Amino acid sequence: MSSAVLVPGVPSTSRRASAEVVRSIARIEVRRLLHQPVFLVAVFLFVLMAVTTPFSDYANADYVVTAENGTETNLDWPVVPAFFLGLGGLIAMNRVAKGASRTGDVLEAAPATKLQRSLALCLVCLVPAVVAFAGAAYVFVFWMVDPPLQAMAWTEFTDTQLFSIMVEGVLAAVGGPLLGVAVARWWRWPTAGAITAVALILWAVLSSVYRDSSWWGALIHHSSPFALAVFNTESSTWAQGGSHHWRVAYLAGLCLLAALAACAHGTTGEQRRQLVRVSLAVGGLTVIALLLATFTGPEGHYGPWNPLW
Amino acid sequence: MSTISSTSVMFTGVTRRYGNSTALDHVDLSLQPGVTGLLGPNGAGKTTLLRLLGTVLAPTEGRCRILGLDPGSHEDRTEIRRSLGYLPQEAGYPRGFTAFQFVDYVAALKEWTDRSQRHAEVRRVLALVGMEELAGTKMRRLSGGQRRRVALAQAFLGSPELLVLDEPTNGLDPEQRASLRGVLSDLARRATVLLATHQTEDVAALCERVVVLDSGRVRYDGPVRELVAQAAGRVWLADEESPSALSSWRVGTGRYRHVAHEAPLGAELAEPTLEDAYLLLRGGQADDAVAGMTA
Repeated sequence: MSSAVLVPGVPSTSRRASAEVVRSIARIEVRRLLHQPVFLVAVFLFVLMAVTTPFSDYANADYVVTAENGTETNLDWPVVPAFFLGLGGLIAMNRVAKGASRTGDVLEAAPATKLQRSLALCLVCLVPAVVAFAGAAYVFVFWMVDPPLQAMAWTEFTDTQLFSIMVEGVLAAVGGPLLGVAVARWWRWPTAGAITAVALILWAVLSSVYRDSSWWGALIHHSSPFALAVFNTESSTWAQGGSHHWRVAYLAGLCLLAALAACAHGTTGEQRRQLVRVSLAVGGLTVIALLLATFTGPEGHYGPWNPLW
Repeated sequence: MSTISSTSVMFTGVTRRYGNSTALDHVDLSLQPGVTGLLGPNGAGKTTLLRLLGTVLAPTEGRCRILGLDPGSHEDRTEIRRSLGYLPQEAGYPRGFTAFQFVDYVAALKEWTDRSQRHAEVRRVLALVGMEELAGTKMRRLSGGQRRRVALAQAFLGSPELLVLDEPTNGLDPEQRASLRGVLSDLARRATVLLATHQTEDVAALCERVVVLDSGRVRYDGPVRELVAQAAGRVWLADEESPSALSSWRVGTGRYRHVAHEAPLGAELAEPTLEDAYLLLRGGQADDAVAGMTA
C-alpha cells in the first residue's frame, strides 16, 4: 500500500443523472452475462438453429409432405429462441442477479438504489432479445423471399400473423431472462432459476396436450409463455386458432410484469405503492390480451393428417 | 455532496433490536474528522453500529444524523452514501470478477458513470492498497489478505468524507497493516474514519480517540491515552502466575504479564498498553473508574 498515490477522486459534481447510472451498471452486467456458460451455449445453439433452419428439408420447396416425413413444419421455429434464449437466459440472468447480491452490504451502502440495480438487470435482458430478433428476422426474411411452399402451415397464415408468430419467439427470449431476474430477487433458493425453467417447460408441454377446438384448450395454449403454433404427428395435425397479434400483447404484458416484479423488490412506501398500482393495471391488460388471443382471430385446424391440406 | 461539519456523526439514544435481542442499547455517539477506534468483544454491537453508520440498517429507536443528514430519509440516505466508504466485516464477491472488475462494479454503483474517469479511480484505489499488479487476477485466486485489500480499495473510492471500516486489518500481514495505517492517517486529514477492530495495536497506533462497546452499550468513549493511563500501576511482570489477576499470560521471556489491581508477589510494574487497559476495562472491576471518563 502506498500513501504516495493518495489523491482525491473526482468530485460528485461530475456524476450524471440516474439513467446514466443505470446504463453504466447495465454495461458491466452485460459483461457478466456474456461470461455465463449457460448463456453462451444457448446463444451458440440458437445461432446454429437459425442459420440452418432455412436450409432444412421441410423448408425446401421440393420437399414432399407426406404422413411419413411431415412431422415437422417451419412454424416450429419460433419456439427455438424461446427454448434456447428464453430458458437459457432465465438461468443465466438468475445467476447474474444472484451473483451481484453476494456483495451484500457493499451493495446496500452504495448510492445506486436497488431499483436502479434491478432496472440495469432488466436492460441486460435486451441482449438475448437482440440475438433472438436478429435470428428471427433472418429466418423471416429468408422465408418471405423464398417461401417453403410445401411446408404445411406457412401458407395458412397471413404475413402479419407470421410476423406476430416470429415476435412471440423474441418476446419469450426477453421474458425468460426478465423472469430470471424477478425470481432471483424474490426467491433465494439456489435452484430457483432451474425450478422455474422446468415449470415453464411443463407449462409449454401442457399447452400442447389439448389439441382440439375447446376454448379452455386454446386458453391453456395461449397462456403458455412459449408454445408451438402448429403441431403435427404422423396421424394428426393441429394449428392453433386464436389471434397471434393479441398473443404478442399478452407476452409483452408478461415481460412487463416480470420486470415490475423484479423492480418492486426492496422498494418501500410510495414507490412500492406506485409499482403495485402499475402492476395491477398491466396485469389486467395482460389478462384481457390473453382472452382476446383466445377468443378472436382465425379458427384453428384440428384433425387427422391430411397431406393435401 | 454535503460539506464537512465539525461533527460528522451524531447518534442520540440509538437502539437497535433484532427480535427480543438488543444489539445496541441507547447509544450516544458523536464522531469528528480523524480516526476513531471502536473496540469491544464479539457480540458487543460493533457491527450493528457500523451497519447503522453504513446506512444499511435503520435504528429501532433514537436519532441519527450522518454528515448533517437524516439516514431515515430516502434522499438524505442517498446523499450520505455518496460521501461514504464502507467496508463490511464480510464482503462477498460476484463469481468470476477480477479485482479490477469488482472495484469497477462498486464504482459504477457509486455513480461513477464516466468510464475513463471510473477506471482511473479504480486504478488509483487499487494502487493505494498495493493491489495494482494483481488487478487482473480473479478474486477467487487471491489470498484472504489480498481480497481484504481489494475490499478496502472499494471503500476508498472517491475519497469519502466518512469511512466506516469493520476489521480492515483482518488477514493483513504486519507490513500491509503498517502501510494501511499510513493510508488511513492521510485520509483522516479530511475525513471521519471509524475503525472497528480486535487489534488494539492498530487503535493505539492510529487513533486519538477510542470507543469501547460492551453488550450494546458504550463502556468508554474518550482519548486513547486516558484509557491507557487507567491501566498505569495495574500491569505487572512477575516470575509466577497470579490467580487473582484479571488477565495473565506468559510472555516470550518466560515471565508472566499480569493485569491486576494488586501487585502479585515479587512483581514489578510494567508500562501499560491499550490492550492492558482494554482488558482492565473488560475485567469489570474498573467500572467506577471508567464511568467518570465516559463521554
